[in-house]
Amino acid sequence: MEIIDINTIFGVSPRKEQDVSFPQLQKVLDKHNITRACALSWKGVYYDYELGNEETLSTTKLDPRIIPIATIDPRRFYGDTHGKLADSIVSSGFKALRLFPDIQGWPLTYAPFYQIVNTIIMNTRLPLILPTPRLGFITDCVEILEQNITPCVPLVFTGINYAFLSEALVVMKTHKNVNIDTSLFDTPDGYELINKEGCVSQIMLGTGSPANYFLPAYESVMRSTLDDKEKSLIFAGNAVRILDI
Amino acid sequence: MTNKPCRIIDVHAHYGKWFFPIYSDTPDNIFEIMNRNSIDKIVLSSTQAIVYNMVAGNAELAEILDKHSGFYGYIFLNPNYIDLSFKELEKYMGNHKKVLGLKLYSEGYIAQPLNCDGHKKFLTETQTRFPGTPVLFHCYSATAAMQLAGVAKQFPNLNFLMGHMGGAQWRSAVDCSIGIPNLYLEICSGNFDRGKLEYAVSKVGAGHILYGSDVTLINPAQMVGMVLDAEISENDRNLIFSKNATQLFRF
Repeated sequence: MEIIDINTIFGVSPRKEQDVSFPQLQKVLDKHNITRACALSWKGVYYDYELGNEETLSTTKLDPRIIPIATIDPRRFYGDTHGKLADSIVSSGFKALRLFPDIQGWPLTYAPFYQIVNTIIMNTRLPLILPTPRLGFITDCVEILEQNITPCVPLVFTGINYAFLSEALVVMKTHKNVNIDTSLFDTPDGYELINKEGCVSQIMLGTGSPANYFLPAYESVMRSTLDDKEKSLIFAGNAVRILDI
Repeated sequence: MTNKPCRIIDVHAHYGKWFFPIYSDTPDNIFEIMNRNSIDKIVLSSTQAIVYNMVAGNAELAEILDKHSGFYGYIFLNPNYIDLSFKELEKYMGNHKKVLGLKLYSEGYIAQPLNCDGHKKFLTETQTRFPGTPVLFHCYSATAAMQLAGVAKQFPNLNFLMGHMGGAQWRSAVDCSIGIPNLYLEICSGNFDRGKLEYAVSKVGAGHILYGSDVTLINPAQMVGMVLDAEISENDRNLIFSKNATQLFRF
């Protein structure tokens, strides 16, 4: 069975002592027979997004399993007037844009974020990956994106746990472009509920490796009562379709 | 790729409703989830007792403990209701064969610190009348972990389980547990930092770590996955999954 992990980040972890290096990510991929991994460098999150994106791209040359994900730090970004950044993101082969308002401390109602939406997302039409830091975040985010981009691009929210599940379900049922990952998807009957509500094509394996253990997310899918076809959608099929990889 | 350990004892579980979209909450649902995750025995506390009505919740839990042979219980005591809690202790501890310990909370749902006077009164009584009783404390921060370390030293004839082992602040929680023989780490939380179990094993020893899941709030498969993924020995895994609990709860 193909396994694609859509939530991996490598580099250096400045906020806690942990080996999250690229070789460590490769070790996790090897250990668990992960076919492909959507990855980016922490350098682009904590330090400089352009250097981080370069580092991410360089790993794709080292390991064909890596699918590069771009990031932009809106605290440094004020526009892409000539479409240069959008062009380079697409031509470099990035498959999605991932943002980190939780770590970087910016709100959704933030002009530079609107700039990213109206220039980079609008011009690249890449899927946008975001965390879920608070109740109402998904609701707000979908509203902002819908107002600015029609038809809206795929949105992927990471870190959905029991506290965010009702919000995620409401939004996923009404917005088929809204998706989630499995990294913190933790309710005992969550996969069965997602399936019953017709949203099994909107959830993808994401683990947070190598910072997180891989097996908590994986075993939760494996030990669910979903059938093999539904499990394979979560493990790979949905990611192939949603992220066009 | 799925490794199924032969036997697991889950020392941190709940019975009752949650204010989240979780519907597998009947005794039969719990039993089915246990089977899917190779869990033989489970020690439950009442959700209702913790978040709302102690007396009604404890009674509801006591009623279902005989439904399946693998079900056991903790009685919950609320330090905002001291006299009533003593009546609950009297009613269940020693009088219900499947009530094996106490579940005590801290902060959030009860708005009291872990080391509040009410908890200490309960522990004094329990230590005198039921020495060796396992006491599961909710412990989701370094502060709560340090408070529990102090409480464990103060009540050496009780066995304390540090529920959630400090959450994201697990490193401090592990560090403050070193060398306290009656303090055990219980692993369930929404934090899956790779390396945390290895760290805990290296600092307090696998003999002081227990598997718990927080079911029905959380999927036991996540914590099973964490133990399976950790780079520890098979012997350590078996201690965490069941051997320590067998000894502590006298199964």
